[in-house]
Amino acid sequence: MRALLLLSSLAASACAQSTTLLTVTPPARATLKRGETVTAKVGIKIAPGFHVNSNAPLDEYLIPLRLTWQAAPLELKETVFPAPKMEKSDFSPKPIAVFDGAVEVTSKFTVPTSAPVGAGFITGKLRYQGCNSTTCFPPKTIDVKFSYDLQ
Amino acid sequence: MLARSRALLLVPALLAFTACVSTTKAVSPVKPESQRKKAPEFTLKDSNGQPVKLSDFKGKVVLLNFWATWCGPCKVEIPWFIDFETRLRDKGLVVLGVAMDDEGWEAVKPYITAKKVNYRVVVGDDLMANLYGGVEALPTTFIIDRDGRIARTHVGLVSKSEYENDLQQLLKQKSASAAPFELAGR
Repeated sequence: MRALLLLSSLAASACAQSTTLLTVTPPARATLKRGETVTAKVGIKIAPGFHVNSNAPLDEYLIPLRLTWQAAPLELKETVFPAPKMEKSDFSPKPIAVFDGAVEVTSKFTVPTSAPVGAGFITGKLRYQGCNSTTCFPPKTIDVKFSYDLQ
Repeated sequence: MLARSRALLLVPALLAFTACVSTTKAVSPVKPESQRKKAPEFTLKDSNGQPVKLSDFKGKVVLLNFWATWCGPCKVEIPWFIDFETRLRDKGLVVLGVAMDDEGWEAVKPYITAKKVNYRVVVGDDLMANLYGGVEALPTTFIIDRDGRIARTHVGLVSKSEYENDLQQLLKQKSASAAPFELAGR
């Protein structure tokens, strides 16, 4: 009986890998002040055995990782991606730049002096395209929310 | 009672495993003729805007390959399919690529020109993917016999020799009947 339960659980987790390739942890809620610069860290966890293309995958046909924000009333200064892992592939003469495991993408915002005081949030979209060694999955977009209290 | 509980647990477990195996890699050989199911009929347009129907290829072995320009493993297979189209066309093979790029021909046309693709390519959509069992993982390739039945499915990159074996086996088989392709409700 225990073996059967284990079999069910293993099967479920194996399937989850192929369907939940990537999960996102949104930035922690922040307390902001007008005129300051704030950093929002988006956590990305890629399922074992999979990778997603980096923000600059080094192959013109590959779909890069993108994080875009509807930043108003904040102003986006920059988004910084971690250093990618260079991976050799059968389909490209040069290595491709990928992310796997857990990575963090950082966006910096400035808070305008005219920004309204109080609780608020901005939304971002993370677009990714992932593969394992033999198979690729269609690009997907995940919404990311950055909540804050502006004092 | 215990036996029944075990059986109840075993069914979803096996179903889950079967589902996972079918979405990762096909390991079974070409199916015996009696176990093959009709490939669903479809009509899609090629790069010249001409409609392409599966039933156009009645009596041929069809290698139906779902791919996309952004799919690295798919890129590995393209030269193999070019080679199959060149060598095996006269023996009765048709290679047909179904590109699943959201951008359609805008992305696909320059790509197939750059790669010198010599076989027919159509642009697929969600309806087409659903028709073939909800194709999501790429590449996914259906090898269809001369009677329009799916003889083998490959999900993910496999070796060229595996394709070659499948195709040679099917090309040797004669069409068993003049049965038309199944008309799927699209």
